[in-house]
Amino acid sequence: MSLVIAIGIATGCVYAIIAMGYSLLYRTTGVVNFAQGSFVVIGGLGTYFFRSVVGLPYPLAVVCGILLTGIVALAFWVLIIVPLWRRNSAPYVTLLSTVVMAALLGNLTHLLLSPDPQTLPPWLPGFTLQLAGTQIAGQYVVVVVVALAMIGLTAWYLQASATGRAMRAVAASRPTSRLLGIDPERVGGTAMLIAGLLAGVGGALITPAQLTSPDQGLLYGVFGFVAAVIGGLGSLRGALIGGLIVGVLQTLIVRYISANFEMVIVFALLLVLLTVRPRGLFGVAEFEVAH
Amino acid sequence: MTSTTGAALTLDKVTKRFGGVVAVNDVSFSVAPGSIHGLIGPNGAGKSTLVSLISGYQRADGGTIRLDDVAITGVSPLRIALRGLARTFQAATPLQGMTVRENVEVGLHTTYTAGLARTLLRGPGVRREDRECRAATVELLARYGLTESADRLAADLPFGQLRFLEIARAIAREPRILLLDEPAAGLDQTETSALADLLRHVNGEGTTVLVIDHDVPFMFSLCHDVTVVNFGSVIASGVAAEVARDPVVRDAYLGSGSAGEETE
Repeated sequence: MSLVIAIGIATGCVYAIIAMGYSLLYRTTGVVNFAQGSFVVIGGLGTYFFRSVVGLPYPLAVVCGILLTGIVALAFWVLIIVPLWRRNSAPYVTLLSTVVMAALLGNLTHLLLSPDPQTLPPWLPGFTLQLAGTQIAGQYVVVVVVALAMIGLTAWYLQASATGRAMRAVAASRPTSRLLGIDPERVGGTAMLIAGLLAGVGGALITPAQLTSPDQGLLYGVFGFVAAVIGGLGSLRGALIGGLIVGVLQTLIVRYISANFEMVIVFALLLVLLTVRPRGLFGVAEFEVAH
Repeated sequence: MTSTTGAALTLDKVTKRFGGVVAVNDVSFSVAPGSIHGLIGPNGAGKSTLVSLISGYQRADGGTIRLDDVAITGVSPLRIALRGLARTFQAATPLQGMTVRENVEVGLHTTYTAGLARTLLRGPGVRREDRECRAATVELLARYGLTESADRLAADLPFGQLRFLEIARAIAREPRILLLDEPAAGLDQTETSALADLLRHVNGEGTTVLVIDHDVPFMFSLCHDVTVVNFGSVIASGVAAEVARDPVVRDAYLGSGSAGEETE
């Protein structure tokens, strides 16, 4: 049982990282980015590529994998979302572009690498944790510690930095931000970059613990989205809590019921929550989503 | 410090139509650098449309607007803002969910912006910028009487303080020209005179000020130059005291006796 919970918490931390990306981008720009889960795959398989194909030392491969994810996210922003914004496209067009992007990234990874799932060595070889008589793979501990540190760092950055303040200003009102000389396109790009880097870290972290395959992006994207909505889309604290809830719940279902039910039950939970508490657990006031 | 030389605004035969209605008709006037310029006229005279045209929120159908001798017709509001123009709206626009202090800090954004990497590395430059930004904020809050409300949510401020916050936020980055759309509307006597003092101070610091209002006594006591518009056209423009004596202006507007009482 404690092993299942531990795995659930570790998976949940990755969902939390994805959910944070959703929330950060949504609250800054109003864009819901379903490619967020694909960024996790890029982070994981990118690290695999730089280590096993290019032959870089592992730590350097991790850094390159994470940077690659950031670059892909930023390119998506500059080449696809910004032109759609400038044309005043309807929100559903932007949303659709993110779904297409997710599929495209999955297929590209599939073609460039292979359709097979890949794994990586643990970050701390030989490290395991004894907890209540169960042995837990050390990588799960690494996932939790690093993920929580990244989430904490992001939250601090958004609170303490001028850029974080500008993001909140853009979230509050794009026209007023422009008036004060703040460029929403640039600030949105920073939010997208941070979301991409976070997802890259998530991918590099989870791949040594679980397998990562090119077609996993949409699944990560969906579970991360559910986590973000459960926590309250736009809330960073909610992203963490929502991620943990979805991660633990999913692992429990897979272990004690059946893997066939994980989607059904997680979506049922989402539906109930949306009916009872449409803003999610920590949802703040609805954000004005104007062009 | 912002330089005042050349920070002038020129409108040359500016026209704006909405369907068949001509809201602004062939309007020309210029704002001398370093001055406080007033734009007055009754409701519906086209004043607010002029502000929108100057700040890029609407596009003129004809004519040219120049900021500091550079044409800004058709330029986006962001680019115009970055060229040194700041404005306030008739209706206050506090940033939701942010405190009074944060609103002012956002106004300082273009002055103090350390990038992502620099902030994460926390170099001495970033810490110095943080300190300067905080000091500038404290000073602005004090001057605008907002020190005690600094940590309240901006949206919860009483009306008069909100107006002052808007101005503090707009001038934080020391713009070359400040446009105010009806700043005195809804303010009481004390607040209006405090507003006039603040605007004189802003002007003394080197910012050219263009005020749009229809509070005649406020405008003529504050402004060096005044342009009077009616039905979308300029009917008089020049030094305040001379415009006040202009018989055309007195007939068309000032003499109506209702000018000072109009509110929206």
